[in-house]
Amino acid sequence: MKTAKNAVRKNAVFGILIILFLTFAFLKPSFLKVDNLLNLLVQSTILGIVGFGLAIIMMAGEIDLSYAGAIPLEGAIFANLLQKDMGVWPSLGVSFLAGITISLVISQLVTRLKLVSYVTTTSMYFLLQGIWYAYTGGENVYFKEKFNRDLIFGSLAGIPKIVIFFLLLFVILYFLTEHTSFGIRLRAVGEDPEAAKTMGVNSITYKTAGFILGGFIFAIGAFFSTAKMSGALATSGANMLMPVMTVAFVGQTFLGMGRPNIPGVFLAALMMAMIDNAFVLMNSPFWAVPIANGIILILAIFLANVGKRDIIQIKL
Amino acid sequence: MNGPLATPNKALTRGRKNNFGTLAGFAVFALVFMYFGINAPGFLTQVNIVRNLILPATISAVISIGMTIVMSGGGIDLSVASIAGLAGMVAAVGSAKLDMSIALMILVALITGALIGALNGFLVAYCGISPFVVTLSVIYLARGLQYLVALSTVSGTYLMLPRDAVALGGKPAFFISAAVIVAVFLYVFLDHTIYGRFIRTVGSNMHAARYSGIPIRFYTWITYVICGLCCAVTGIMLTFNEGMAQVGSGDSYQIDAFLLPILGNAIFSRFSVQGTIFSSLFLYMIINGLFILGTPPEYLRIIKGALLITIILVSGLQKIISKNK
Amino acid sequence: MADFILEMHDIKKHFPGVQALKGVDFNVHQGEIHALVGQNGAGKSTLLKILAGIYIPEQGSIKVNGTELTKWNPQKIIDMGISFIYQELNLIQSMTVTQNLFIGSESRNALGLTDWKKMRARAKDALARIGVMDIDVNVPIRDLTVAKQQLVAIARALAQNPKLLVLDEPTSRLGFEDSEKLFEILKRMQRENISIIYVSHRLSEIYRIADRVTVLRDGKCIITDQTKAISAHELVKYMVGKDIQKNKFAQVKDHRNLLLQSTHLQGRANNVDLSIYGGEVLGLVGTVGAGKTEFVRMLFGIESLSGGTIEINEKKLKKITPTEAIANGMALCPEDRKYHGLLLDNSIQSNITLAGLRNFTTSRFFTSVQKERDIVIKLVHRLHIATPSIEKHTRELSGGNQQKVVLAKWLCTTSKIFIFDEPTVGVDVQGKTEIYNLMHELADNGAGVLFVTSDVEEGLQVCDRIAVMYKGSILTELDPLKTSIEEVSMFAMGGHPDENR
Repeated sequence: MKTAKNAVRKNAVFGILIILFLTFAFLKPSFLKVDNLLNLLVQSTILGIVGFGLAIIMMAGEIDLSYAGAIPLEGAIFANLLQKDMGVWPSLGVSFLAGITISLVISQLVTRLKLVSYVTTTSMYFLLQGIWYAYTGGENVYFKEKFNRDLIFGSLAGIPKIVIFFLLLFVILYFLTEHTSFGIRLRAVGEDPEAAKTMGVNSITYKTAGFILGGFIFAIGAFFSTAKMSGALATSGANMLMPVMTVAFVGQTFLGMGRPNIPGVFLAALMMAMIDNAFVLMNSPFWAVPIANGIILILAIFLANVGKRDIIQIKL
Repeated sequence: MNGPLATPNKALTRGRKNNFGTLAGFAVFALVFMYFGINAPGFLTQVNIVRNLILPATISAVISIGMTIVMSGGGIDLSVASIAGLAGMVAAVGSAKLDMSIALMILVALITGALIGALNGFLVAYCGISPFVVTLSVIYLARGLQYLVALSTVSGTYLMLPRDAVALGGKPAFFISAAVIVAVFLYVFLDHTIYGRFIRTVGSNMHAARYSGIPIRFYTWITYVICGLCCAVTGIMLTFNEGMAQVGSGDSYQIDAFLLPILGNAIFSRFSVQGTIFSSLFLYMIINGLFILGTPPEYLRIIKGALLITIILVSGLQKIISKNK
Repeated sequence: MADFILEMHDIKKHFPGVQALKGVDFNVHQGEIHALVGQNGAGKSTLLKILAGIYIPEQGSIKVNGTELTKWNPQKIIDMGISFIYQELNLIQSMTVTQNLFIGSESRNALGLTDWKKMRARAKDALARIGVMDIDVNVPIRDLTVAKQQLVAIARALAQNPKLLVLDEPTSRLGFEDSEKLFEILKRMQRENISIIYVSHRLSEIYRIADRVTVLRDGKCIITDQTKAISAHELVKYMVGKDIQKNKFAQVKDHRNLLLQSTHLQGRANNVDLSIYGGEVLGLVGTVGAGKTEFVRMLFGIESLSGGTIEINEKKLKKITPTEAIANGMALCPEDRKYHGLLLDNSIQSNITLAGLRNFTTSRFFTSVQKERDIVIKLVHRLHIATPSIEKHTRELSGGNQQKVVLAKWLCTTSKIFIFDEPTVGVDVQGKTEIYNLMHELADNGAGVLFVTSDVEEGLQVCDRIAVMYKGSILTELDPLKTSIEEVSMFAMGGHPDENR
């Protein structure tokens, strides 16, 4: 019985992905067109990139929800400075700086003051939301002419450049987290800081590194998101909160890892984009997508936790 | 150490020294009130106090009280805003499509809130999933259901209420009395019944609760159901207040529901209905006063966010200081 | 020329209220297996923590391989070649054997990425070094048995090429065969001239593998000698020491009122048959790790049974929950009184009324502070709980008073079976006596009391009957008036080593 439960736990979500793919392909053959599949990839990039950032922080044993506030803010800073003729790289630099500062602050609050990360980063999200409102006046910031969209959204050999960036980032982060000493020590700290300590791995150092790397990746996501919309949108933050969490959590359950991992996030992002994409193709009512997402998330978590039953409490 | 009747009975029941935080809380409240009373024109009028301070504070308080109950039990419910929105939507649809009476609308909304709360509670208490993850997922579901329910009528994502409901919604007395009923009931529940005691025990030390025979799963579950009901009440209030239900109404209360119980806990050193109400009045007094003084509304969120981070920071520092003693 | 790998001389360590080590000399020869024994509280763990650099002694010196250490910390101790293997294995459960072995010293290839192939080879070598060929280095730690996990922990320690290895009760979770395998590995290490300090409560093991043995008692080193020079009886006598006070309480009680019977109870305990009678204080005695707390938790429903029955109130139960246990009249004062027995940041009053809250209500579910106060005041007086106010948080009470609050909690219910798990740990002499008196008072009123302790002396002094637990099962039952402290201690350590257990 235990091995059956284990098998379910490991493979269920991947199985769901395959089933969904086949179902959609069956219901709407246009789903399988190359154009559409490429479009699917593009849709999944930003979600996937931000998800990578969150997954890395989760590997370090913490969670960071500030991205929902940091990304709109960074996007707004970038767009605004660009609009004021500051030039692409300096504007980008400032927005990255902002992001890293936020992550640095969070990392110290969590590692040195021992504040609980979900409460702290949720509060930071609210705070950043407020700052965003103050900075932008609640309005979208556009920069149409000042930036060559083709840099990101043009194609190289038929593949959209942004997808190439995404895949590149995927490969880099995959190797970083699974095949370097940094990756293995980060995960050791995330799973069992006490044992890691006896192995000579300092949890404060690695958790801080995790937060900052994650924040850096969030800033990359902010850049792509802003570039995609030719501006920073008012709705980007709140809309992003749930989907990114979903891919990071559901990603854990993919491939039987049972822990945050980069390939899992990649597949989960694809899955979410696939659902979105397919539902649009099928002209589904727009309540279908959130409900589907919600059910899948709950199902994935349920299956991933099959057998574990201790109540988890939140200590504030 | 071992004398017969070492301490006479009367002395034994002497209470703990009054908490510095409580005193400070009331003092600051009074000071701020006086400040606005003097410097903000129109602050002290009945219209202002009732419509712009107490009214929003009560709506916010109800949903925050629901969260307070969950936090007392050691959990958290991030889906409160979407449960409120869903319940309000269900009520509106009930009226628009099924021509329900006001009483029936309220009942249907309450059932909705209770069901979603029960789902949350089940996944947390009986499946051992982190409340954080569970309630975040439920936000999705609830929002999707909001769309679904709204679309069953002709007008799309919002619905207008019939006249008598709107009329009711125009009277502050309606909201205040609803909030008072909820507040009084849950205050008594949490602080004066054995069930409230059990819930607090589970939140305080789950293991000790178990070793004392308290069924921890059940009491964890029930906190989420109660929270769902409170959200439903808030949803009803919102719907009646605006005369309509929209997808996503209620979302603006997400921060409040998180902030107010924590603020109450910081001031009164435990989660309590009274503390949450006090915090709500406090917060909305500040918001109202600042608004009259001309602060742009965008800064509202910064204030709330900054307040939250400050409280968390301070309580974290307090923990470190007491550990080093 | 140092024949000694370790010389600890005149080590003194003081904690508030107790002199833990009173000038201990402890030496380890190169290449020997040296057993360190002593009862609970004798000072073993303090001595080892000093060696590990976790505590600093007020006095005394440590020489490693002839070099005197002037200052040391955990890292320095590792650098000097001393490794520790604790009962909490300190391995990352989800990571593979290979990864666990080399976190901190990962192999890298030309690109700077981890060279898994090389690490796997290193892993196999590390395991082969201790003679282990049958562990798959690609398997996550949590999929291995505890015994195999322990071997990985040892391999990791060995990878740092230590000169001295300290093992703290390594066989506590191992069965017979795994223990034998462990001993083989230790002998192998000995052949490589690695010295070993072996802490254990098990006589058969000590006599099996140790070259020399040191007995600590009351913070002093009583004797150090070759194991073959001391008989088992003498060893126990050294550990146990003086004559103890006569048992003032014990009476042979007539066993007419059977309150609870456990039959073949299995799970984290091992086939336990035990009867608790009304009117009697039954002692469950055994060393730390014998399985007493696990058994007690199974009775109370905190841990699950995999076999056997609990007979109580004319019902035969195969499963039980704490709520049911309490409904059937059981009361448990848990071993971890602070975190399992009390709400530290709540008042004495709310703690005491916790389990029996339904008895202090008005109209069935409203709490009545007045009713609570009345009963709480009565109990505070009855149990002599020293406090200026019942509103005081229990965190601020002394250990003894905390224990009394836990007991008072159960006196608010209609319990008939009281289980006390190590109630006198951290309690002063006065408090201990009060607790013993209370236990007998309960028994005299018809309740059945199960008193769990790892302090043999205490068990002998206080109980009407003693059951000795070893490795999860009851070894024997003894009459405290007819047995001796040596006999009980010997059973607690597994019985005479020649009788194969």
